[in-house]
Amino acid sequence: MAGFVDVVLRGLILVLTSVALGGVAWLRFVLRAEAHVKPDAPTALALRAIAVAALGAAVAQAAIVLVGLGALADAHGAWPVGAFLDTTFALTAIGRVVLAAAVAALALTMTRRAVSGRVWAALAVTATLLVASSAVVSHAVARVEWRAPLVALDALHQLAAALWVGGLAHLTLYAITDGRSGESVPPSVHAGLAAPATTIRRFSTLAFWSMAAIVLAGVALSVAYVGDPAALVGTAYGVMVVSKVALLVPALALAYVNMRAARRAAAAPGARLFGFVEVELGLGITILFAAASLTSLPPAVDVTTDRATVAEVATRFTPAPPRLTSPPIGDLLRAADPLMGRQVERKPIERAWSEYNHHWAGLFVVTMGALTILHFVGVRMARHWPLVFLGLATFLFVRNDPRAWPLGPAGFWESLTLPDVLQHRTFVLLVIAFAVFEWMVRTQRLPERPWGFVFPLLCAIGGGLLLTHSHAMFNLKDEFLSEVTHAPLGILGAFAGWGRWLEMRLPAAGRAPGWIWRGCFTAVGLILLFYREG
Amino acid sequence: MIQPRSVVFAAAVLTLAASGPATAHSLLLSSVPVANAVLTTSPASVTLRFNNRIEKRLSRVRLVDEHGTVATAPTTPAKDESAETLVAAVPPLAPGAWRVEWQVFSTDGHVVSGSYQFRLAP
Repeated sequence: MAGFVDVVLRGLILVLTSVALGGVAWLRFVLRAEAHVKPDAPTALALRAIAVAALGAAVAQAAIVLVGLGALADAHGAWPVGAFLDTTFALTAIGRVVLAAAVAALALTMTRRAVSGRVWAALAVTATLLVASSAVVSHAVARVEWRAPLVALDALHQLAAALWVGGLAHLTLYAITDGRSGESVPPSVHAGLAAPATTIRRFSTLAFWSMAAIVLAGVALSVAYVGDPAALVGTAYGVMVVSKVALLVPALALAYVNMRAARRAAAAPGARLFGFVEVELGLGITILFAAASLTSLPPAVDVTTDRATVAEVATRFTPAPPRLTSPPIGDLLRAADPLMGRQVERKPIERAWSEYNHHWAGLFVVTMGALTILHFVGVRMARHWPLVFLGLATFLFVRNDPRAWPLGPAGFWESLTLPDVLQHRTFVLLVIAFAVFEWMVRTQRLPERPWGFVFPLLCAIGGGLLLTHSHAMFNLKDEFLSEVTHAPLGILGAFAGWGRWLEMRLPAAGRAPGWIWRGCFTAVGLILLFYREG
Repeated sequence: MIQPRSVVFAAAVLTLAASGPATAHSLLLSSVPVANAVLTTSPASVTLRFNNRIEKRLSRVRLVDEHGTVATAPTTPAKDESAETLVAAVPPLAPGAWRVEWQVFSTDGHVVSGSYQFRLAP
């Protein structure tokens, strides 16, 4: 569990520090805030966002220190504080807490009064150091060879990503408060805004150069950490790199559309542009979480013995008749290790059980996908599709943990002491809640705004979290192959979520977003339907 | 055990999901004794080489026999030892199967553990 918490916290820090540094760039290069001038409303808003993000980053970074110390505790629970504080990681992490707190304090101070150019420079330097120092707690610093150039490349990559994603976050905040995407307009904010078209054009320039740096440094880092092309599909690290690229390509396409729209806009850009910006931001955040996941995996170039071949990976994506008959539960319980004991190896019958679970889950999802399409083309009855989630939830509850109640000998409460079981039970509750919730939206028992946005947000978050899922039991080839389908599931989840988001935010965009999210949703079901473990 | 996590992920993609397996960052590249070795004499030390630099003061090794008896193996950094290598002094072992359990803290802040076995012939 500590590993997963660590990855999520690292992802969160990447997002929050991006908002901090991206905000500084937004103020200096886009809003062009000046020294010795009391901040106007949009400047003060951006400064407050920087402060909140930096404060959040400080808390998350401190939490990572505690998680690391907790994981190092000995059998008696004693924390090796002295030895820990001697490490590069601890010193850097604590330094980053201080930097983040300094950024928050400076930004808060600047919201209240006019400050000198030195204070502005101090904010820029601390925010830059905050982001760049992330490279000192990355793969680069632990490499045996080429440490310095890799740290430099990693810092450049992260700085550029922070400027892009953080800038997008501030642009979105600007759009919301400007009221151009249909939201309310706080008068105090609206009063001080620069011309939106000019603002967008300035941001496009910043984003363009950031993106160029991201790609260049990313290619160089990939060469160093992946090694050869076969590792892109044969290792968990390689697959995550491909996943990042798969998310970056549509983000680049949206950025291109946004840039062209900004250049064409003679006056103020409309809601269409800002709708695309929101989706670009969403994809950017998902990419940052995928990047956090990379930190928990050994670089592909180091994985030489447990690497899967392209043919082996391709086999996992080759459709085969689904397994619709379950192995008998009695046989499974006799063969499997006890739930509360140490898991030694995965038996063939366990794999068969798992395949059956995947395939039926796939049928549920494909059914829902088909119903969403029918609803889209005018079959009104199909609007009840979220209720199929209830069937899926029941199925998952019974089948997820066969050695626990209701199928296995382990008691309900006893089994909840295991993190995996607790997570599965929690997810089932979430699925039930989501089924009821989305059904109420679809049947207009709840208003679509704002409640309709819960579905795309959860889809996108679910997809992002799926990408942050570390690969259990090391990078063993079998484990990698059984989990290799998670990457496309995560990507499709993100696409489905943001497609639905666009469909709701931009009715003028036509029916394409509607087809995209329904297609991705159905594809998730198909991948599950043809999932195989051997 | 069943990897139902993957099935739950179907819902996770569509709702909200997370999972919590162990991270797998440091990779054990080689070891002495090697995994599944059969030795005729008790090894004086266990040497583990990883794919990245490790913080040795926060890394540990222990040996466990088939009955669960633990033999402590204090790590002993040597002057000429590389940054990615961990050496643990091993007390005299009784014949039988032994499991080497290791936990390392990589320089970039990941705690990773693993194990492998070897056998000491009577």
